[in-house]
Amino acid sequence: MVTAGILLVDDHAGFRRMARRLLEAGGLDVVGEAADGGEALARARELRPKVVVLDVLLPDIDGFAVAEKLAEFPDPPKVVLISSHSLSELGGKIDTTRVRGFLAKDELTAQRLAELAGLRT
Amino acid sequence: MTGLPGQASGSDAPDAPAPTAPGAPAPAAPPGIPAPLGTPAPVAPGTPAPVAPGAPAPVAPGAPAPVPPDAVPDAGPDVRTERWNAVILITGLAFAAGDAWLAARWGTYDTLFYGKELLQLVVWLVAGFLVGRVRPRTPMGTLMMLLGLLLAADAPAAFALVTDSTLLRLLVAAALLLTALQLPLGAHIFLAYPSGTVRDAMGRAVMRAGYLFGGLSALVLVVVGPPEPQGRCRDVCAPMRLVDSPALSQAAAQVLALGTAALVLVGGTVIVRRFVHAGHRERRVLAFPAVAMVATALLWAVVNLQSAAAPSINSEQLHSTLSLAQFAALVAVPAAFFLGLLRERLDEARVSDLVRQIAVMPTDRLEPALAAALGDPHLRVAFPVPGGYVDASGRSMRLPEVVDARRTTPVGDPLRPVAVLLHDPSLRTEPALLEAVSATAHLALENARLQAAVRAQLAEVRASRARLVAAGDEARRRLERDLHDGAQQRMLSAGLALNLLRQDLAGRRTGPETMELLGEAEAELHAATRELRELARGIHPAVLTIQGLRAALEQLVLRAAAPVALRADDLPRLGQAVEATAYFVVSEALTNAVRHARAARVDVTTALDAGRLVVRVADDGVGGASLTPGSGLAGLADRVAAVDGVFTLHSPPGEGTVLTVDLPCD
Repeated sequence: MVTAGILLVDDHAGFRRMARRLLEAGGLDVVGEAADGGEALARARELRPKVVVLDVLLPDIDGFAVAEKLAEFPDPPKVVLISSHSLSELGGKIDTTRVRGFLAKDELTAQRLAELAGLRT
Repeated sequence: MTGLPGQASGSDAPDAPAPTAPGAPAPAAPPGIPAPLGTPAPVAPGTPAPVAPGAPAPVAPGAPAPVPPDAVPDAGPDVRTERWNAVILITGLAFAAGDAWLAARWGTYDTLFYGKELLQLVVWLVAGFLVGRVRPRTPMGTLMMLLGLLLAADAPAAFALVTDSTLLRLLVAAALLLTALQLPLGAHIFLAYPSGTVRDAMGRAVMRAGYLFGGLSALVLVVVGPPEPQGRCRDVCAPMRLVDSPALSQAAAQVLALGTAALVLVGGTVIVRRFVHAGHRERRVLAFPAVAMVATALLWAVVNLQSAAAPSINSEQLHSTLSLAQFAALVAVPAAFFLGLLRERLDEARVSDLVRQIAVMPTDRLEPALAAALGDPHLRVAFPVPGGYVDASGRSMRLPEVVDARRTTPVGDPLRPVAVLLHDPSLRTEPALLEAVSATAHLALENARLQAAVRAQLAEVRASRARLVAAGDEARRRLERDLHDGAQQRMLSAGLALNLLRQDLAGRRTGPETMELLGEAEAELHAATRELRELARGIHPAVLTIQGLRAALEQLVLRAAAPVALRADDLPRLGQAVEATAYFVVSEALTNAVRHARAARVDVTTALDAGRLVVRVADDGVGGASLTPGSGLAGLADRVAAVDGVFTLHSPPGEGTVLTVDLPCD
């Protein structure tokens, strides 16, 4: 099993709840949740997660901007973006220096996430 | 004609008799002048003096103000005034001729002196006559001519005539008394310029003081005579005094000179003050005359002060210089009056220009034309429309909260004006000009108001159309967002739940049928999610909101069913309405190209140039597209128009279609 703290960021509580169960059922350790970009940064500072699963569309700052800020942390967490939109719908470009990968929300599974974040080898 | 003020102690002529006119021109008396004085003109030289010296109404201070002639509307007074003016002119010129004869016959000064005296009075007469022609409804011209007449009548007093004739002595005595009038009448004229009526209280006070002073001067002259004349014309130049005391007459002359200087200085101050307080328009009329008047006043003051201080000093040098300057100033004043009033007359010429041009004048040139006609470059024209005022272009105008009657003139019915002129307050002094311009422009202004109202309505319609489109866009954005946040998220959650269920079931012994059903449920849910996403994108693409036009177009191109070449500048974020319009134009054009034109290739270019976004979609399809009402293209054209863009469709049958839109992005 893996010992990796995951911070789950999404503004929809229902989705967060389900995603958390799914990831935990897949053996991943979800250490916290956040509903918007500001809360995400605060929780990340506090919990020091290894991975942040970050929704692109957030009510305050968008996921790209949050990822940029997270990248400035000492020992920055790995970021995986998720969205209900496809990547092309979001402009199609991801800055790989700050983000490990992108997952459409309907493709989210513990295994895909672990692969993208390099949690299991 | 005693050259006004200080020629007293023989300015040019060394041994001149002192005409003692206590300086002349200065403050003056009440209007009412026109008729009376003109007639009593004494006839030939040699005859008894005209008009009792002290006569000219030294103005009882409390006397009722005469009605300003310019207030009389009917034509009658004009004709009368004109006749009087002619009489005064002829009489004055006759006097001048008589003066010339006297000077030639008995004069002892050189010709230059007499020439100057005569020229000066003729200038006043002629300038007055011309002013009367230019401003027939004001007493200004008559006043000026009266001064000319006075100067002609009292000229012999300064002529240093040498003769034994009793008749001439009588004439000179009368002329001497008349010199006392120079100061008040001159002041009256100076203060009354340009209307011919002294309107301000201070000016009237100075004018009354002047006439009073003139009466006193005449009295002094009767009692003690002028100061001891020198040279050859003792008897003629200082005739018939009641008290023969050289010392007394010298002292009296000094007092009168001082009084003259004081009056002249106060009068000059009034003129300066009036100029300082004048509006810029009024100043144009006042400027040159004011300078000439003040210069004259200062010269008089200097000459009188000098002669009061040292009456016996006969500084020829100083005197001749001063008197020359005085002469120049005195000739300049009437000329300046005439030119100043002529300038006003030019205003009227501009009004008649306006009359000629106004019928064919475009409404946007109306305001500058009125500004020119009224001589007020800052003039604004406001048109009343329901709910406020607009300018000629239909833009809303804010009028001052408090209506200042001096700055605003309604055109037409004051209760329901067709326009309101906002102007320099000095224009109130020319109600006739304002009225003439208003009347001339009434029809054109009415026309302009209608156009302005239409423009204002059109602007409002355009604004409301743009607001409608923006509101529609906003509604689509919100709908997309709601779908995304609501149904889509729930379906995603349901998908995750099914996933969890699958994991859970995998660990148990479950029938294949159940797993199959689960698989079907998952597949259905995925399809529904995809369809919902497509639907949401069709309503309003999230990428447009998030990433902007270029990314949205790239996505459109990726999803298009035909090969599309996109050449797009790296666009900055533009206004929502512009981005959405451009996006929907390209989207619709791509759909048409593939679906209707059966194009094999489409080129999309966007370029931002000088604040305008130009989007061009060209295909090699069948062409023949048109803006059929109700069609997608017609809807696009409306959308483009709503953001003030230009929509161009070029689609000849068989030659493909080029759709271009040009959108302002400010």
